[in-house]
Amino acid sequence: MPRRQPLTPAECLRSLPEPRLDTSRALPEEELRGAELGRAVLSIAQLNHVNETAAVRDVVANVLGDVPDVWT
Amino acid sequence: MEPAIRVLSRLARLLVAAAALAAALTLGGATAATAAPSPGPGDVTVSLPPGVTLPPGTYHGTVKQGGKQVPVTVVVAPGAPAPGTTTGPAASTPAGGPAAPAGGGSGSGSGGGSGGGSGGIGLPVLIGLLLALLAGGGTALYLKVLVPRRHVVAYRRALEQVRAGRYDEALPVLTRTETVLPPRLRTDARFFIAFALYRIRDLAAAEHRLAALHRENPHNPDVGYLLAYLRAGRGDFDGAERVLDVMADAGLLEVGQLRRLYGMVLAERGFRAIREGRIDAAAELFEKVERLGDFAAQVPVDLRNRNVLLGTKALFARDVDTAREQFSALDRAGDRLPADQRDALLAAGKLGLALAGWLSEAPDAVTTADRLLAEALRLLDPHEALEQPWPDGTADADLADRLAAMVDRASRPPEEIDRDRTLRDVHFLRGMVVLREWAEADGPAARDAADDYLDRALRRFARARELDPEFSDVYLVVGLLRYYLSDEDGRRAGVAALREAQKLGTRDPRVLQIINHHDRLSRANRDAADAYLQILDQYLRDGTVRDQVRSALIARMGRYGRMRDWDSRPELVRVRTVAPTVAELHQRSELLLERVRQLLANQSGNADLSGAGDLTRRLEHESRTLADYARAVEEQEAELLTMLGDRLLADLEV
Repeated sequence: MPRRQPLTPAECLRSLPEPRLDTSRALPEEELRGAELGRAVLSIAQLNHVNETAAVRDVVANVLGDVPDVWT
Repeated sequence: MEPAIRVLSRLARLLVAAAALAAALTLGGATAATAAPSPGPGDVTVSLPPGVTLPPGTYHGTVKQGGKQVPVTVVVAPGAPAPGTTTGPAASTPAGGPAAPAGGGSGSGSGGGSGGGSGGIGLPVLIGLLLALLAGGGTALYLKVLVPRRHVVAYRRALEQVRAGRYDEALPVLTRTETVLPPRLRTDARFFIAFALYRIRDLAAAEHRLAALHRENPHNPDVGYLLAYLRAGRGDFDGAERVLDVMADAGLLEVGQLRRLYGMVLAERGFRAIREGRIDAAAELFEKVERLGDFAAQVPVDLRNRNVLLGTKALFARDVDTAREQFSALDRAGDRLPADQRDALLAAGKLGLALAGWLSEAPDAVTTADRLLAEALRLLDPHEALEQPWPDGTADADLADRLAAMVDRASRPPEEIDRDRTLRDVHFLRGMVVLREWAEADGPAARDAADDYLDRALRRFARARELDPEFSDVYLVVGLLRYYLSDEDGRRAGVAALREAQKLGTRDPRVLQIINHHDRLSRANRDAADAYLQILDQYLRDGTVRDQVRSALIARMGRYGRMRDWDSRPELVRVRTVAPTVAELHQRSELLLERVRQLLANQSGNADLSGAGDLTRRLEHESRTLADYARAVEEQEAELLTMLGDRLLADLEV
């Protein structure tokens, strides 16, 4: 029976899990939105429900002269 | 190993015995002799150690006794073991008892007097020296080889325990043998101790030992890796990077997983820099991650490029000039950008410049932004259209289908989800660009081209909706636009879109007001429709109405199949053969008008029914006129009959 080679430090290190990068933990969605351009379009353009509604009202006022309450 | 140790032990003991013999014989020279005289009075007995023999011959030596030195001659007869004796001037008790005959040592004395000795140093002396050397060597062999080898055996056994994962059993042995192992094994032993401590989660002790090893030899890749790995595992990426920087400077990154660990640590530090707002530091770190390669693909493309990072930061800060500068640099970089990232980075450059235009107040900036957004889309999504019709008239998916579609979309690869989200937002922004142009147009131009503006906006928003049917913003904007600026059908579609926005989370008070008002109107309209159908049914059953009129009425109303199954209409069985009287006509009209007036009273806000009110008044007038005419006819008939009677009957009365 061939003799088993003694344990080496390299063999110990090979038993450890490979280094991994968990981007979702490292940079959560809401923080990525503030850094990555592709996710920040609406934020940078300041487009939210309030501003979008205001933009529509500007158009309606320009076309109709005023914004009606509701159509009856 | 064990048999070898036994052999070596025996050899050592043999050498020690030889050393004892050399000490027992004082080397002054001895020669061999053949005779073996019998011990006589005054003889001195020399005892040899057990198992020790001397070859036959005569040996001369000196025995020290009582302060005197007595020359002796030892004669060993060939093949005749006898106690060895000596002769000399003084007889004394044997120093070590009778001579042991084992091996046959005997001798006879010769030469009286005190001098006795004769002959040179020669061979016996050399043999004695050799024996002494061998004894010393044996002792050294025992102390330096045999004893340490036992420790090595125990150490190797402990390593097998480490290999088998029995760290608790291995640690005491490793710790005990660490300092007594040969130097060539000590460093590894200390490493294994640290590794075992790491495995049993005694991280502080493991790190302490590894740090000491790293200080002693900063270029040991195994120690460096484990130390950095440990520190990274507990979140000390700065500490891990310090160790890995040393490895990198020494050119050791290709050993094992060092390069991969380094890339991971730098990426983690880069993400931390992003979280802390240190964009410049982040850009630098991600450039290193890019160069190392293992985790480059996991860092979002926009974060890998310094211009994009700094440009984005400037956009958030509303620093339009800096943003333009950074994104223009990307545009100029063009062919120098990495081939696999070129389109994505050029698109980022155009998108960044478009956003800078959107934020700026400069004239024509919005027009330029629109062009840049289109160019960005062509780079990001070259095979898809920039616009498509808004999907009116398609049936809404039921809840189960919508949920299934949502699950499908969520199960796509993350990079595909991110890409579609970006495309959605860019298409939506293009729609909002149309709204800004429309709002800034002159009033008459805005009104005259309203249909064109609305159509352009809806077509762009339709692409956003296609990419994300659950995006509430698109329903909100489209719903409001159509509600305010479309005809009745468009308004209904607008309310449907607003209702969708509400389902997806919109809480705008104006939206809720529009939907509630629409719902109230719908209920009122349904009540009015029911009332109308009742009036219609009664009219269709009324025999005073000519059947041709009733049939034509059914034919005209038959197109409203949803409200009424016209196959179950009232049968026109009541057909009068006698024409209705004026009074019947008048009465019928009065009844009809009364019910219609009630219906119209509940629809007072419905401008589309203003014509019905006019017609009601005309019908009332006509009906009254008909009744008046009938009375007038009757009166004239009576007048005619009276006139005729006066003329014709008066003559007969005379």
